[in-house]
Amino acid sequence: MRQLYRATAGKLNAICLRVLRDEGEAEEVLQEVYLTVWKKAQAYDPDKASPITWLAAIARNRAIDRLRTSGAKVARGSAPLESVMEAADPTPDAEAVLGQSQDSQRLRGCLETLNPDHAALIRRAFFGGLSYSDLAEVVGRPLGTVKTWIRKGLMNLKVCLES
Amino acid sequence: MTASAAHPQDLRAAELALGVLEGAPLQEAQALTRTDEAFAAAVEAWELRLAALAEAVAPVAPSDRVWAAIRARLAEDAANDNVWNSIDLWRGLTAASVAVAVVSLGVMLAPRPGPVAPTPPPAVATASPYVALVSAPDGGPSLAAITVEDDLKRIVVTPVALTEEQARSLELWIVPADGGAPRSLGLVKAGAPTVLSGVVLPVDARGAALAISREPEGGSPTGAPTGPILGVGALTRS
Repeated sequence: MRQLYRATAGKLNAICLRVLRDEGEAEEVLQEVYLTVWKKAQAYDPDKASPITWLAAIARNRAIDRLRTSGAKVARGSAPLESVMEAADPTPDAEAVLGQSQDSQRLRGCLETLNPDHAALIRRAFFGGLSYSDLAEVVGRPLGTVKTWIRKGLMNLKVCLES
Repeated sequence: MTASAAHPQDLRAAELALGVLEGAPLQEAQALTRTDEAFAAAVEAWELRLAALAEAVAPVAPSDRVWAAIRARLAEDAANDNVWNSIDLWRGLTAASVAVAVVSLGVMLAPRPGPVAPTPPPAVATASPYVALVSAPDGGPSLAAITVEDDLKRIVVTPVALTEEQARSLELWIVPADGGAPRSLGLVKAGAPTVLSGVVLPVDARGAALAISREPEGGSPTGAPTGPILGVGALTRS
C-alpha cells in the first residue's frame, strides 16, 4: 500500500487539486481514494485500463462528488470563455508526460485533432464537474451550442481513439 | 464523421461519464446503469477513456499528513473484526513482499535495537521449511519473523518490532488456505523469541497465512480472534 501510494499520490493529489482548487479538500479526498482502493483492489481489471488510469478515474470521480456536495460556489465562481481557454490546456511538463500511460498519450493526441472549442469545453466539464447548463452559464453560450459542441467532441474523440 | 454515426446510447454513456447530464436525463441514465449491464459497461469504458485526461496533470506531492491519516484509518479498520474477511486480499498483497523479505531474512533475524531489545534469536533459518514475515497491514513495519516446521510441530516466533504496549497478550493465529476460520497457535512474547511446540491442528501450512492479534490477558477467551490484528504474513517455503 505504501509503495502504491508513493508511486501514485503526486498524480492523484494533482487531480484532486485541479478539481477542488483547495488543498485541504484535496487531501481529504485523496485519503478517501486510497482507502477505497485498499478495499476494492479486487475490482481492478488489468484488461480494461492501466493501474494509473483506473486510479485517476477514481480520484477524479471522488473529487467531483466532493465538489458537488460542497456546493456550486466553485462551479459558478469563474466566468467567460477566455478563462475556459486559459484553464483548458496547460502545457504539461516533461515529467508529467513521461508519467502518463499510453491511454493518456493517445487521448491527448486525439484531443488535439478536435475543434479547440470542443476540446476546451470537454476539459472544462471534466475538471469542473459542470453540467450542460452550468457550462452554458460559465462560458456565456447558448445551451444548445454547448450541447452540440460537447457531443461532437465526444464522438469525434471516440472515433479517433478507435482508429 | 458526424455525431449521427454514433450510437445514441453510447453518447448518453459518454455524457454521464463526463458529468454533463442533469435533471431527468441524468436520473434516467443513472437508473439505466443499474438495470442495463451493457450501458453500465459503456459508462465505465468512457470513465476510463476520460480518466486519461486527468493523468495529464503534473504531479503535486501531497502533505505528509495524508499518508499519516491513511495509516491511522487502516489501523482502525484492522481493529475491526470484519478485517478477517479481507485476509485473502492481504495474503495476495503481502505474498510478494514476503517473497522478497525471505531472501533477507538473515538480516531481519539479526538482533537490533528496538523498543524491547529482543534477545538474540535461536538459529532457525536453516532447517525450517516455512517462513512468514508478519507485517502491519498498511505496509508498515515488520513485526515478527516466524518459522514453521511441517505439521506445525515447531514454530519459532522472533519479534522484530513488537512493543511492550502491544505485548499484554499477543496471540498467533494460522489462517488456512481454504479460507477456514483462524486457529490459535498460542501466545507469543514481545521481548524474546517464542518457541511453540506440540501444536496439533489439522491445518496445512501450505498456502496459509499467519496473523498476530492483541488479546485479553491470557489469550482470546472465545477461541477466535477478538482483538485488533497487528499484522499478517503469508507462509512461504524458505
